[in-house]
Amino acid sequence: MMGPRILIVDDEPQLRRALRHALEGHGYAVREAEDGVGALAEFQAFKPDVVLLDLLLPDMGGVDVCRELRQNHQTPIIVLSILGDEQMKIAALDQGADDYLTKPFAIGELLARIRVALRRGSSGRAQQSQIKAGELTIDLERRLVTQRGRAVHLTPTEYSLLKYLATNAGKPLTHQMILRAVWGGEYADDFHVLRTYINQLRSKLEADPANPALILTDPGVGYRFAEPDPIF
Amino acid sequence: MRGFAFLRQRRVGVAATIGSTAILIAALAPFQHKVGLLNEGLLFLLLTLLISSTWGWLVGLFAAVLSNLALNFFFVPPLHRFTVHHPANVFALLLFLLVSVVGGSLLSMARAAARQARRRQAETEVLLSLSRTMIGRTEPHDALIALCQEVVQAFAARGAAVLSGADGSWTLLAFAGVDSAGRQPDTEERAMAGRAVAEGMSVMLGQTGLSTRRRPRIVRPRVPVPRAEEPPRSIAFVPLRVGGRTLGVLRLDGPIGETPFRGHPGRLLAAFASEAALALQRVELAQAAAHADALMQADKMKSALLASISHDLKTPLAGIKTGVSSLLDRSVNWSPEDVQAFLETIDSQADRLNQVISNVLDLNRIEAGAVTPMLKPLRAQDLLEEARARTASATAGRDVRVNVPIEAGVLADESLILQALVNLVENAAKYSTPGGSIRLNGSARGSVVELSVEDDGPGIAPEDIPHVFERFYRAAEHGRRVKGSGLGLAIVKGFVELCGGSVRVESSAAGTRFVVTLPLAEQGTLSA
Repeated sequence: MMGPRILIVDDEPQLRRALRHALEGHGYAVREAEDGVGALAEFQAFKPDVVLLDLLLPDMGGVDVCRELRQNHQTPIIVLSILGDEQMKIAALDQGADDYLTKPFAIGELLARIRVALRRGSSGRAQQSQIKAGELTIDLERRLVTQRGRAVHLTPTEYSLLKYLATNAGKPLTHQMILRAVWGGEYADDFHVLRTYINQLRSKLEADPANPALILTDPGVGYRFAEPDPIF
Repeated sequence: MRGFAFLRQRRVGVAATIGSTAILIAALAPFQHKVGLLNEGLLFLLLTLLISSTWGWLVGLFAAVLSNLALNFFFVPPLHRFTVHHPANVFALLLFLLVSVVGGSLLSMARAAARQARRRQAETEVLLSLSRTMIGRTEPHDALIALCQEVVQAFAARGAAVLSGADGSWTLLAFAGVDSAGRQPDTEERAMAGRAVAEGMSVMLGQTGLSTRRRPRIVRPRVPVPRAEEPPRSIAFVPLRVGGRTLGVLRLDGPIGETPFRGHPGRLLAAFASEAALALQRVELAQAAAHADALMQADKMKSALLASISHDLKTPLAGIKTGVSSLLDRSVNWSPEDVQAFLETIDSQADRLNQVISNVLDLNRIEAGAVTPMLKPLRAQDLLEEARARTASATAGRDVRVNVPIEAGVLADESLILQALVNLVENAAKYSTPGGSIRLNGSARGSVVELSVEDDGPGIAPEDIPHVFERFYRAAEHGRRVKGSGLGLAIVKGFVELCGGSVRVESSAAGTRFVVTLPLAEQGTLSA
């Protein structure tokens, strides 16, 4: 019996071939597409649980594929990019991609990302009433944040920011995504406002704000809240 | 003015004094005792003052003494003797001498002052014209040339030049005047320029007419045999300093002409020197700016190259890394087929990586001029067959056919032309539709052979066609990008041209055709 279904979208036949063997070896059911049109067709036919999406496709941009898929589906999308494609990578995340991996990557890293994506796809953490990360507990019903058992006082904006980050734990969030979600669309370019609030949160929550363990910086992309509990 | 200049010379003055004194004596002789000693004295005084005002106080003094002696000898009794009877006459003669000397001096001083005023005015006019000229020239080099022209004009010199390279590497930047003013400095001139810089003052060779001193600092030419048709060398080197730093020298080829500044060039020369120094500084700054600009361009080019090849390098690496990390993953018991797939991926992607690196190195070699083609006769059919064989993996799934209807040979470097053809076939495979066909044709046309690579892909957009052989250029349509460094076709062009050939492209919606034109090898030179 085959495990979760994965759709590989990449125009490099050799990479697809290696990925297919590696993923099938780990029990996944795999299908391939070499361009955007093929990806959308395979998606309809195969109904994958995770999509691995290359950003450079011969017929259409990976970002466009992301947008198309997101119109009707919540299937996790992991973007495969190359250093130097930062702008496209961020655009893809803004269009709803869940995670990204920079080529070249080790297969173990890809498998870990796939597991995180699958879990997120199945559980919907937004319905949770409580989020735990290390010694931090966020009680979403009572709007209460405790660190090592002691209540932490947060301003309403700080709380909204923390809640947004924590409910998307493990997922890279671009500056614009965070600004839009917490402050609203008109603030989408106020990066320094976001940076200020992130610093405030870190000084209140992190044991060592200079080396954050909860609110991590994703260089060139944005921020990522640490995975609440072990994945493996 | 220049024709009568010799009249001003002192010896002419002395001769004129003697002559005019003799004439006056002769003119007065018939009227002895009728004119009266007072009137005779006044006439001699008038003569002395005229001479003073014309030839200066020194000749004037000579005239005063001579007039005094003439008066004494010819007009004061006893006549024709230098003795004087009447004591009052002794006093009169002494008074005459005093009046004529003082009057002559005052007159010559007034004349000198008037001359200086005229020179100042001329200087002011020249400087005004200079600053107007310099302001008008935005290009620093033009400004230097204009400055040289002004110098030549102001001093009526034979030529003027600005030399830069105070570190000893003297080079000519700008000049004006006779053609020889544009010469590069020889060893002797370099040495003198160096001295002018070291001493911070003008150094002269020969009689330039520039020196402000009575005895000019004259350096004897080490080779003092000027050719007959050339006037004796006389050169001045004026250091050009700005902000305590010497940037170069102004070389003035004399002798300078008859201008108000002859013998009094100091202020004007200093003004020219400081303008020239400023212009030279502008040249330096412009050079520094150009250098910085070139560095920036090179930097941009490097960034473009890096951005461009990073995809080409990382993409095969991604395949290799996936294969290797899977093989190292002991949690799965890989089947022999899996292992084979991983190894094949690693193998093919390593080849691809090698190809990308070779491309970059090739382009570097072409640009550095480090490729020396070894031209020899090659069979067109063999070249195209070999190109097809080498691109077998890149063109997998496509129908690739070689068609050379005639026995034709080209003159080319085998490895360069093969690489060019391989790049063209790979390019055709990359830009055409999978499963399409690629045609490799060879044909002879007069003294050339055409090797073409033709695909049935969608063609190249007309606006992209002029750029396809440029480095990093990749035809980019909206929402679509083809992977690749954009180096392949630039290398094709470089290699084909090194072989003495040319490459062109024809494209339509029905396909694209790259045509390499190479010289035809002579009949019978192809080895079997």
